[in-house]
Amino acid sequence: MATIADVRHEPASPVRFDLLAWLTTTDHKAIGVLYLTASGAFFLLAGLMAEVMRLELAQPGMELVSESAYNQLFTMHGTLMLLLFATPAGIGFANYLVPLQIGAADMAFPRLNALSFWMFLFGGITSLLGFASQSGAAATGWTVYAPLSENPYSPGPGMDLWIAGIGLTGLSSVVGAVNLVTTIYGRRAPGMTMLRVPVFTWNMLVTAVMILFAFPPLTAALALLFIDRHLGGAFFNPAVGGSPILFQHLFWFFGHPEVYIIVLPAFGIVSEVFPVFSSKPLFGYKAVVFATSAIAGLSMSVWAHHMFTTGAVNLPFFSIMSFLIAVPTGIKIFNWTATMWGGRLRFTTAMLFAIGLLYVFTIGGISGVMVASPPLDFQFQDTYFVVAHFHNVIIGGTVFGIFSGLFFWFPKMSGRRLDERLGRIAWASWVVGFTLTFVPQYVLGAEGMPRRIADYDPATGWATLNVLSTVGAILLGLGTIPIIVAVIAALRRPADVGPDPWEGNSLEWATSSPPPHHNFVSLPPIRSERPVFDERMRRLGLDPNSPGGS
Amino acid sequence: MSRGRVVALVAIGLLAAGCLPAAATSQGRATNGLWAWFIGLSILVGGVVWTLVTLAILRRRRDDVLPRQIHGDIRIEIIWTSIPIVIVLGLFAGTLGTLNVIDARSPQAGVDVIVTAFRWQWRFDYPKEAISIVGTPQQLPELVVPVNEPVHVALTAPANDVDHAFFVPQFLFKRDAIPGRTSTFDFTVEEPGTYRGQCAEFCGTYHAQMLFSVRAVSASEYQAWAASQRTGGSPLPIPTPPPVEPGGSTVPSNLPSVAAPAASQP
Amino acid sequence: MPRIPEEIAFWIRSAVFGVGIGGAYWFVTYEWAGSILLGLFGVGSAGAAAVLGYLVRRRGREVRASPPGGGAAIHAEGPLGDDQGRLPDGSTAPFVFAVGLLLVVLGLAYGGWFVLAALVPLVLGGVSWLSAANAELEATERSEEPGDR
Repeated sequence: MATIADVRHEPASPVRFDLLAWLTTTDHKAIGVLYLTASGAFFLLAGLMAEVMRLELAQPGMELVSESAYNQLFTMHGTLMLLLFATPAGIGFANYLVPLQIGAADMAFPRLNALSFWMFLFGGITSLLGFASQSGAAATGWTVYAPLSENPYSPGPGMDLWIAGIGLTGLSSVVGAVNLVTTIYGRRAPGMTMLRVPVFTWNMLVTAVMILFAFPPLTAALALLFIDRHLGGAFFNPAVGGSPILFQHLFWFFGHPEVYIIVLPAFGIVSEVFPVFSSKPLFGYKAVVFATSAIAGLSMSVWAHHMFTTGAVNLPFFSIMSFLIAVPTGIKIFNWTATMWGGRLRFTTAMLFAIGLLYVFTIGGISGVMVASPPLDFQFQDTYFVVAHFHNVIIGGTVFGIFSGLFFWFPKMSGRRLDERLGRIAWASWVVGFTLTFVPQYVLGAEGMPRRIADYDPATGWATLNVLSTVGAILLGLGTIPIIVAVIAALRRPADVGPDPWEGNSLEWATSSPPPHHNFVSLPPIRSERPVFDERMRRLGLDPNSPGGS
Repeated sequence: MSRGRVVALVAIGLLAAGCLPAAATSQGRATNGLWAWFIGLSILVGGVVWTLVTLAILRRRRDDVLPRQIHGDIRIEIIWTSIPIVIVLGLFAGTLGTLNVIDARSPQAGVDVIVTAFRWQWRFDYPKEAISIVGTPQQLPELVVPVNEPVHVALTAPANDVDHAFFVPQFLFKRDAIPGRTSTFDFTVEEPGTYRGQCAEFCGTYHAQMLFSVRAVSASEYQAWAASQRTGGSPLPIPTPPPVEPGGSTVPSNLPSVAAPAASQP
Repeated sequence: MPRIPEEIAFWIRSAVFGVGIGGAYWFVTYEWAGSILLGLFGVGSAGAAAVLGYLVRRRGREVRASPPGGGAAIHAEGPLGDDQGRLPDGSTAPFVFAVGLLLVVLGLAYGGWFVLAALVPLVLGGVSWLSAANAELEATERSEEPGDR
């Protein structure tokens, strides 16, 4: 039992390596760092898989890997990137930042928080264990569509390990989401009303609520699939009267909200970054909060746009809902632009990635409107157009957001800045590499190159664009190295950053970097969504309500 | 019409043509028309957003004075909420119109084909003509149809198989073949020619090799072809899928490679 | 009628949307899987709003009943607001319990005997978890006795 008064200091510095401390920690900051580190490792592994796939596709013919190995690679690339990188990275930032942003000492359930991290890590590793088995890892695509994932078509432990591992990871997400909602609803410092909660925390609240409604259908689908495979069930196998369409409904009822579960944290991150580096408040705080909720609601009702070509769903209903979700997303883009408008911009790496998000994500949003139209989707579905579209929103949205957040909050987490020059090199390679990789894929997809093919006929003429795409992918891989170097180099330096290196707005900048175990020695008064800004103005003798120039 | 507008229209037309194949079917032509609207509006919307972001960067404060702290403006929020709503409603209306063309079933007799997708080949059955075609390693399956006549497709997969999809890029159309379900659609080819087709729904190890082609010929050529192909009565049996070796690398003997020649021309 | 707090309004909006869209979907499609899932989204949100509403009202009574300057309200905002002061020590329980869960999922792929092996870490982790929580609860109750604040 510890209280704020007699707190035992766990390693405040996440650098000195103390294995037992990491294994037993219940500190939300250490768990956040664990989440970010583990999801970063999964990101690098999945990135390597993508490089192998791109090298295989650069030229027609099977040169590097077998068909079966290729299928395992794209299955696990998608699984790792979506479920073991993008989702837990958002949860990692939330773990670190939400208690700090609301002025709390920890999450509502610290031990449960540790449990959800270990469940995520063990589940992720389990899903990868298939590579060690004779018949390989799961090779059904990350969507594990039944009946392909049924026993007759995917025998062997690889598929079972995927089902069990991802099931455990899903459970971890639900536990984490309960913890987040309870924390935001029960641990806010006095004065922090819901409409003064920082926008990142708002985005994480909405994300957590989406997890609560989206992951249970996935867990149900995986449980039924397991029963089909081993206990004689007949839920999804048409040979014994099951329904493949039911599997797709259950999967996408999870799968579409999942897209927003991974992008809302990034939206939250840049909603903090734009105001700080524009020296202005977020334009339209309430509009952004409203748009976030609207995205969450609409995202629950668009799932079957992934099933337009099945001929088994209502096309107009899902088309109009999918079109409409562009509106709140657009509201956010306009509000971020308006935040920058007339601001004193500082082009730090964090800000550069946020601006990159504005340019790149916009294109992904527009191509999303295209595939929301069933006639166009009849051409684009399951082609490289769709591949380009979702990489456009996931790289341009989630990855750029996460990189922005990494450069923004690394000083808070470690007490050290990341090298800005390396950051700018990484930013340039990612913007150029992204364009070179995925613009050719848009064209390939429109011409009809299907996704998930290990090989293609040279007579199709797809080789030229595929070479370009592979060169872009190599650039993306190389562009990741400066970030790794920056992190390692920073950790080898002594901590030298004060509480507020960027002139921040929210409460995490009111405590030391890194913060002590109990987070805050004292809190500034909370009278707006920018308590640290208000306090800075007060110290300068300015009225926090109208401090600005013309 | 001003010259600027002509240039803009030509540019948009080039982009649209450059990105989406010109359709060979009457249904696909409707999609081409819809695509022109989408690409035009996309360039407009994307251009506006990129311009605003670029202007925000160029017109930033370069002095060291704290900018005016503007927290928002309800009027401007209403504007940039309602304009996108109008745009997407317009796109939805266009979508519905095109969808009606694509989904329409022609009352004309035309040609009936039952397409069966299985791992990793296709079978095309013409019940009226008593023709049954199954692809072999030596010869990709070819669906022969007359031009300018509706082809009524009933698409399915055997109950003991997995999901596939019938996809002909130049028709701008695909439809999933789901085991135990039959899906029906029409297409009317307007341009004679041979069109590459491929399974588009991932279906296991040799998904990339599940190819076929569609050859559209004149009505008289079609009659001659049908007479020569008559196999009489029942559809051919579906061969057992080749076994999948764990980590197997080479193309199994009963599958064509992706570069296999299309069916020989008569 | 007091203003509905934003925490609860959020769930009410979510419930209205879920029930509304679920109903619309049912009458447009008669497809039951999606209708049930959307319905559960609406009903679940309504349930959350109801529980939170109850908690807020109970909390309001507690704050009014407590002596001036004291009471739970000063500790945190929000309907679940509670004491900020307690921080648990580091604990092996979550890690050990998770190892048990790992063995369970491996058992799903490799056979039942893994599940038997899982019982050891699950019981060990569970017991140490509960005892730590219990000790903490007792310590908190002691510290909250009158005169100890």
